[in-house]
Amino acid sequence: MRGDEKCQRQLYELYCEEAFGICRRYARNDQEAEDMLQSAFVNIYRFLHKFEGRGSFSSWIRKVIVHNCIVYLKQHRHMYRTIEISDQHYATEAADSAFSNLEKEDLLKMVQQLPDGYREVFNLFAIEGYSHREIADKLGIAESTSRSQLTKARRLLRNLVIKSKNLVL
Amino acid sequence: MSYDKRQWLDDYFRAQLKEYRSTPPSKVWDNIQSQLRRDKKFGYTLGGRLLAGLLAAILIGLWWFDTSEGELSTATQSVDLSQENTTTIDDRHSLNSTVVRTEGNPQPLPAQIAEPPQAPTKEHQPNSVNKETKLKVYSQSPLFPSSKRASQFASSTTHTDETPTYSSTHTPLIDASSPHATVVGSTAKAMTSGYSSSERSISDIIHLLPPYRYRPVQSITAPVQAPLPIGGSDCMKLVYRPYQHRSIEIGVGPFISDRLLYTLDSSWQGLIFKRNEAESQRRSWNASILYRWSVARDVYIKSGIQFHMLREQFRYQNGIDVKYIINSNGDTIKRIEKPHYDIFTNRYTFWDIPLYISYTWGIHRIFVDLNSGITFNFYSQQRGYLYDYEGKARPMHALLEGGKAPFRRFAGLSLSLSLNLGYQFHSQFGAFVEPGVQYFLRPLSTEAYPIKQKYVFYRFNLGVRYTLFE
Repeated sequence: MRGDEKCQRQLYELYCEEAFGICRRYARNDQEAEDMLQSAFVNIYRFLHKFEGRGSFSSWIRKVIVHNCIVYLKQHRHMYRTIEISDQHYATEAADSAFSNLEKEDLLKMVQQLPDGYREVFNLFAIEGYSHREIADKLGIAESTSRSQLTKARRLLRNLVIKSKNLVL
Repeated sequence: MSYDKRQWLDDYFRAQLKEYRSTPPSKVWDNIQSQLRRDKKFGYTLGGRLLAGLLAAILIGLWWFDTSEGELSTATQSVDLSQENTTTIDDRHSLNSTVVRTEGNPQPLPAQIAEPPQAPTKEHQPNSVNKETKLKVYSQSPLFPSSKRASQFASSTTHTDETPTYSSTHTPLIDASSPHATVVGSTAKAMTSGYSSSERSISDIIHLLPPYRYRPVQSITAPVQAPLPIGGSDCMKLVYRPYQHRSIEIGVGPFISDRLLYTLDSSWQGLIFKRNEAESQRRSWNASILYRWSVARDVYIKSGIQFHMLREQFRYQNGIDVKYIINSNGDTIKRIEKPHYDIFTNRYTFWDIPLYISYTWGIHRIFVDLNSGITFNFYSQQRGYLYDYEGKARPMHALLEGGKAPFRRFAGLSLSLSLNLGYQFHSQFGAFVEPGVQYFLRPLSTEAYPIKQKYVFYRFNLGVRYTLFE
C-alpha cells in the first residue's frame, strides 16, 4: 500500500467523503478542511502499518482524522484571533423548535462559526462521543474547561439558530 | 438549559452530522499524490541512488585495484636475437634493484614460466630473427594478499628461482639520488615473465613494470651493485619514483538545497506542512579547501575543510489584516481582508571534513576527476526564527528547554559525489568547475526535537588547483 498509488487512490476514494465531512466539522472553513484532509491522508498512508487489526479499519481511520484535525487546529491557532464570546442567555423554546427545520449544511456552517475551542469540544463530546476526561487529555486542557466550553458552544449554537431563522427574542 | 434540552441538542447534531459526508474537490487528491511522490522520491529514490552510486564507486575502485595489480599489462614485443649482442633482463631478488644487462655470451632463452600462456621459444638463433612473445606483469595484491593472483605470483617466483638468469622478475628499484624516491614495500613486488631483447628501448621495459604505484622517471646507466649470477658488463638501472602527486584545490560557488522535514510523531505533521509551504531559498554559497594526494596511478584521496552557508526564507501567515472603508456617514462600505505575513531569513552554517576517493582521467591538458566519498559534518547550526508548536515565532535557541538549539549538531554524516572538469594551464596551475551533490544521512536536528531535518545540496563550484609536486 505504501508505494502503490492505485491502492492509495482506492483507499482515498472509499473514505474521502466521510473524512472530508469530519474535517469540515472541525475546520473554520472549507479551505482549512481541505488542508486537514490532505494532511490526514498523508498520515494515514504513512502510518498504515500501525493499524493492528484491533477494531474496524474505518473507526481507526476516523480516529486518525479526528486526531489530525485537533493537531492541525492547535498548530494553526495563532492564525486566527479567538474571540471570547460572553456567556449570554439566548435560550428560548423557539430556538429548540427551529432546529428541526435546518439542513445539514446549515448545521455544519453553524458549527464552523464556533470559536476553535468550543468547536473542538462540541465535536468531540456531542458528535464523537468522547468523555470530558478524554477531551481534556486530547486537548491538554482541564476537565472543567472542557465542560464550560461545551456549555458555551451549546448556547452559541442555539443563538446561531435563532439568528438564522430571524427569531425575535 | 435543562439536561433534556442539552441532550436533545447533542443528539440532534450527532444524528445529523456524525455520518455527514461531503465530496472533497479533486485537487485534494492531486495534492496528496504529489506530496506522497515527493516523499517517496526524496526518501527512496535519491537516497537509494546515492547509496547505490557510492557503493558502485567503491566496488569499481576495489575491482580496479585488484585487476590493475593482478595483470598490469600485456604487450607483444618483437624480439631481436643476435649472437653477438643479446640482452636479457636479469632481476635481482632484492627489493631495490632492477637491471638490464647486456651480455657478450648469449644464453639459451628461458623456458616459459608458469605465466603467461604463450611461451617464448627456447631455440637459440645464430642470426637476428623476430620472435613474438607476450609479456605479462603480475603482482601481489596489497588488498587481497591471499587471493588467486597472489598464488600466481608465488608460483612464478618459484619458477624464477630455478632459472634466475632469464627470468625477469621486476621489482621497482630505489634510486637514492632521486629526491622523491622511497623504499619499495614488499607488497609492491611484481614480476614480468618472459624476456626482452636489446632492440627494445628502456621505456618499453618500463611500461611493463607495475604502474599502479610507480611512475617511470628516467633511466640511467650505472654499474652493477651486486654480483650477478652470470657474467656481464653494462647494466642499465631503471629509476622509478612512487606516484606522489600532491596538490591543493580551492573551490567556491553557489548551491541549492532540497530539504526533507519529517517526524515520527504525527501530531507535528501539520507544522511540517506549514514550514514547507513557508520556505523559499535565498542565495547560498559554499567554499572548500582540499588537499589531494595520489595513492595509485590516477587514484587520489581528497580531504580538507568545507563550509556551507545556507540561507532560507520563511514566510508564515500570521493572522489577517482587515481594512474597513468608511464613508462620511460612518458606514462601512467595504471590508478588505489581507493575510499578514511574518518573514524570517534563517542562516544555516555547516562545517565539514570531506574524505573523497577520486579517479582521474586526463587528455592533454584537460582533466576529469570523479570524486565520491563521505563527508563528516562536525558542526552545523541554524540561526534565526521558527514557529513553534503553538505557532509563535521564536528565536531558534529558545525553542527547546534550557536554551538548546534544535538545529545544532556536532556529528553528522553525508555522502558526496562530484565531478571536476578542469584545464591545466601550467604544470602547477589548473582551474576547474565542479558540479556535485551531497546527501545527509543523519538528521540535523537534536534528538529532543521531534521534527527531523535532512538536506541534499546541489553545488556548482569554481576552483583552482595548485600542484605542490609530482
